Amino acid sequence: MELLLISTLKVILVFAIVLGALSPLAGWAERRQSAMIQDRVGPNRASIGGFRAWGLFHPIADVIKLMTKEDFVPATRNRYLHTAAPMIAFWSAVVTFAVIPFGPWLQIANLDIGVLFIFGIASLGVYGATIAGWASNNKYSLLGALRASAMMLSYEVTLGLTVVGVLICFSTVGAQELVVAQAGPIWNWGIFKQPVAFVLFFVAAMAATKRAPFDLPEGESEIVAGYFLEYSGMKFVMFYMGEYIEMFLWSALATVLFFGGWQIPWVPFEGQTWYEFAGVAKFLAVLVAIAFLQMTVRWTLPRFRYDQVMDLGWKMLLPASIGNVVVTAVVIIATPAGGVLQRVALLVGNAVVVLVALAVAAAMKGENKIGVTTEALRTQRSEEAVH
Amino acid sequence: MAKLTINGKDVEAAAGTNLVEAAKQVGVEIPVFCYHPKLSIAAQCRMCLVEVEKMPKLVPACQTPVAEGMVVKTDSERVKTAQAGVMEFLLLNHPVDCPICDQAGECALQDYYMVYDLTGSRSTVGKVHKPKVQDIGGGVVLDSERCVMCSRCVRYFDEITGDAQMGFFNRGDRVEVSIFPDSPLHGEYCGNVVDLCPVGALTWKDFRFKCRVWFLEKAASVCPGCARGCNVTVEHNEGKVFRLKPRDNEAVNQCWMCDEGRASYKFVNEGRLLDPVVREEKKGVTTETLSSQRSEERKAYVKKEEAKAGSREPHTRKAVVVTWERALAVAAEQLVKVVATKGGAAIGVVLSPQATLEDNRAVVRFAADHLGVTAFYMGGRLDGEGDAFLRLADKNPNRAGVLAALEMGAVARGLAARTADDVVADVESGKLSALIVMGNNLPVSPDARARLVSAAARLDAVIVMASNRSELVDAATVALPSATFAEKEGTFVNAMGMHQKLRRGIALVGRALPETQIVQKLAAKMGFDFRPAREASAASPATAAPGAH
Amino acid sequence: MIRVREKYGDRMTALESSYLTETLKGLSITLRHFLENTLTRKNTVTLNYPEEKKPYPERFRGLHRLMKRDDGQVRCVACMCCATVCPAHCIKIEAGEHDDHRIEKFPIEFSIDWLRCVYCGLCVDACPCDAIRMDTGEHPKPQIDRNGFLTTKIDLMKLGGPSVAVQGGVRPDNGEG
Ligand code: SF4
Ligand code: SF4
Ligand code: SF4
Ligand code: SF4
Ligand code: FES
Repeated sequence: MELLLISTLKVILVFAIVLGALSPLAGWAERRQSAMIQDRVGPNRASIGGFRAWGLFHPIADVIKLMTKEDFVPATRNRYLHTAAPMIAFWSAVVTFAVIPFGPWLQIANLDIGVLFIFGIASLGVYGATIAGWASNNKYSLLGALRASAMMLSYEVTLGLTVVGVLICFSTVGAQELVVAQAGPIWNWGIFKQPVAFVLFFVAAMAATKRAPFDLPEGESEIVAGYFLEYSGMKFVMFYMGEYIEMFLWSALATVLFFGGWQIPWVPFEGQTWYEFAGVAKFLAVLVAIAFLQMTVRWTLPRFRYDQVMDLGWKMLLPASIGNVVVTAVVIIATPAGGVLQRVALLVGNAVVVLVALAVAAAMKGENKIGVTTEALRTQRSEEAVH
Repeated sequence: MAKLTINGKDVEAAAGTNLVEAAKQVGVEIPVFCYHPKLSIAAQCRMCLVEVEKMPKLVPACQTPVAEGMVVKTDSERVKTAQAGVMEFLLLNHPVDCPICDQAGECALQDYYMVYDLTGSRSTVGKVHKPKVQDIGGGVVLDSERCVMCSRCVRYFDEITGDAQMGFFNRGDRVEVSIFPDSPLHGEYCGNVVDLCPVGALTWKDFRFKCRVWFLEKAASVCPGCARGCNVTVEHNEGKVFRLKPRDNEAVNQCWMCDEGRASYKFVNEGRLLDPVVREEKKGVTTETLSSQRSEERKAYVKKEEAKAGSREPHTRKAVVVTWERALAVAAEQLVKVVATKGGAAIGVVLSPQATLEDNRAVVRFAADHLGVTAFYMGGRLDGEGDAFLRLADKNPNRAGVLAALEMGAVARGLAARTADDVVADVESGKLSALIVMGNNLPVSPDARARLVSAAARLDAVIVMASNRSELVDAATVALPSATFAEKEGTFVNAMGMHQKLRRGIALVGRALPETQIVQKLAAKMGFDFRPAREASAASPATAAPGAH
Repeated sequence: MIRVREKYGDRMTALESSYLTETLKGLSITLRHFLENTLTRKNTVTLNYPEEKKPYPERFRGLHRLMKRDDGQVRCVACMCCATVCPAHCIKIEAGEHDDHRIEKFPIEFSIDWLRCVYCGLCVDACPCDAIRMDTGEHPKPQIDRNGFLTTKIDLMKLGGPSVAVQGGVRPDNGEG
């Protein structure tokens, strides 16, 4: 009975944080931030009684607008799948938060397979996009869906492999255990053991959220809005929110894997009450910082071309992450656990991975994705042009 | 005949021709203010000065007849200087209030300034002011300041109408053209001075400020005012006629027209019958029509209808605006019924000398050939005043045309047109049970008209093709809007038997159609194969002279 | 025929094609902008429109106004020059005879359809009386109904003021008419 009550409370709390605070605010923050980056003012018109609060009421206005908006659907859609798609996308993003340890106490379910659970559920999200694209019965939507699944296939592999390195270091897959393992001085954090893995994870995670510069499935300048082109009203909001939630999910996972979760460096957790709150605060702070970085990247880089995305995924990230797993495994086995030597060896190993990756990239320079040299391609193109 | 050269071009002109006219022959324009071909030569404006070889001074072209071997130059420096000088003098005290001047756009002073002057004023003293906006009677407004003292107006009244009504008063720069004290302009031909005046000193009250002249489009036409058939231009803009102006035709009106004619365009703009109207017999108050109404409303409705029925005896006809389709169908149905039951002899057709020859011909042919009508009557307007100059007592422009139409279509069958008074008599005597009327009204006394209108209520069909609303239109079972002279092409035959062409001016007003088309459609509705003939009017030569004044 | 030229294809170094350094460079730029604009608004070019307005240039052709005579009557003499020159045919003038014979002609009605107007200013150039001007510095307000743009003489005169130019068409009253 008591367990049920506590669990319910935890669920409410976690969802209040994620759905009630983070996601709506993310929308506001992103618009405001992009305005700042682009020398604009950003949204500041919505006001309650003349009080504008830097546009903070815009999310409220948005929600009201989107909820009251007509749900306009194409006549030729597949009725059930068209409705199910946004639910799948939204659900898969939200459910994964069940295993994120926000604090020593604030975790809905401490599954043994924590990280794997996240991967398993999160990768279901792409079904949302794929089904949406197909059920909309629109060519742009379908193209978007195809791009989404192709990208998901390519980057989910890297995403998984980068995490393997971290898991090897900490010898566990449980989310809470991972955090506990990073207690103590700051260099116990995953990022100091697996810096390359963090970079790879960050890039692959961004691709998984389908946000710029990896927003090919949406590509509004090419395929209008891609897979959610035919959605409006609350169904559209589900995709939209799902995207933000996913962004926070990967940020949360990055916090767990690389930034010690709720652990405050050097301060050991011995059941103190204040620590429980401070831990949650620290967790959220890191989470927000990583999310902020993701958003900044979005406003920095233009969208990749489709072949560039595939090149990056298969030729750079995947080999590097495989290399990283191998090197990490070797180092962990060859060096005494927990020692300075191991730490140094891990960093050296990382550096080697980076250098090798760059060398390989340099060697492949001038070759495009189908292995033809640009010179040959150019000749071919100009011949075509003549005709 | 004399041979001479003007600006190096060889000209051959009859002896006595002046240089202005001779120059016109070779396309050389000599500017004139006071000269007018229909008036005596005054040679007082000096605008027409030209250089003639072997003559020591410049000579006024308007006053100099051609002579054998003359060498004339109109574009030498001396001439140019003289022209600019005259312009400068004329403009010395001219108010240049073109923005409020009706003449602007067709002003000799403006036009000549652009060609022969184009310099600013050198005067440092103020201008002499004279009275403006003087209503001098006859529908003419005088602005003394704008006058260039050409005396055309003075000479017009002296020479053309012969009742000197204007003159110059005062001297020097205070000279003023005006009427004689307590004697406003009178007579029937005052409007011509407005056309004569080369500037905006004389303006036409009826046209004043109504429209800028440069907006006006012009169509060569014939005045519908009387049987003279003065040649006019219909000047119109955006579907509205603004004025009629005389057009030169030596055989008819030279370059004049009467004031009555100038006003004869008004019915084109006002009081038009815009849509086909059908009057249906009042069905009476029946339970069917009331069943859907609530009881108190029903009571009020019955009361109202009863009151109405009481006031309108014996028939109550309700006017309904309908489509052409419907109106023609109703008209066809009524006519067919009459023809079937009583025969074509029971139908009377009133022709209109206000309509064109072609329209009348179409109606005659339709009625005689297809309906078997034998009774044709002359409609139109009642006679008015005439005089020895232009105006004729017959106020219809096309009486001869109606007769010509009858001649072709009916006289051959032994039919003749009778007067409008006969219509009234025949309707009252019950000889006619249906009427087809062209025109807005009948040329009968008001009393006879009232009798006709009340008698018409008993007829089986009264089909009126009218351009304007009238009692007759209100009494019609079917009223069909027809086009006025300004809206159609056609021919008027004037009292002298001249066939004169009308050109279309404005677009058809409302849903009006020319009678020819109405008849054609009506015939088609009745199932006749009817095409209004397009025979050329061979009877007498077309005499409408080309070119507007 | 489209010719394709691969401009950067060959020139990217390995480091560049890893996107790593270039991304960092880009990030530093966006972050710099973000921080600058968060701390100060001096780089921000956007105006908060109704509250902040950018003054229109001096010669901006805005809404028309009809100028007035010293006694408050309309200066316009209904010469139709503006209506004639107007390429959009949006000026409608109904001229009438003025009671005062020194003025003679005046517009009984004068309306401009600000929706049809293309703000070319030709009417102002054409006016011989300095009766119409476009120096209000205002643009037409949005309307729900297109009739809302049809502006009558009275409203045009409300925007107007006296002109310093000498009024044409008025002359000493020397007892005529
Ligand atoms: S008479 Fe001619 S020049 Fe004089 S004000 Fe009138 S239009 Fe202008
Ligand atoms: S009023 Fe006209 S026609 Fe008469 S003298 Fe003056 S300018 Fe000539
Ligand atoms: S600004 Fe141009 S378009 Fe507008 S009223 Fe004046 S002339 Fe016409
Ligand atoms: S141009 Fe000037 S004076 Fe003439 S009508 Fe237009 S506003 Fe009036
Ligand atoms: S036209 Fe010859 S003097 Fe006037």
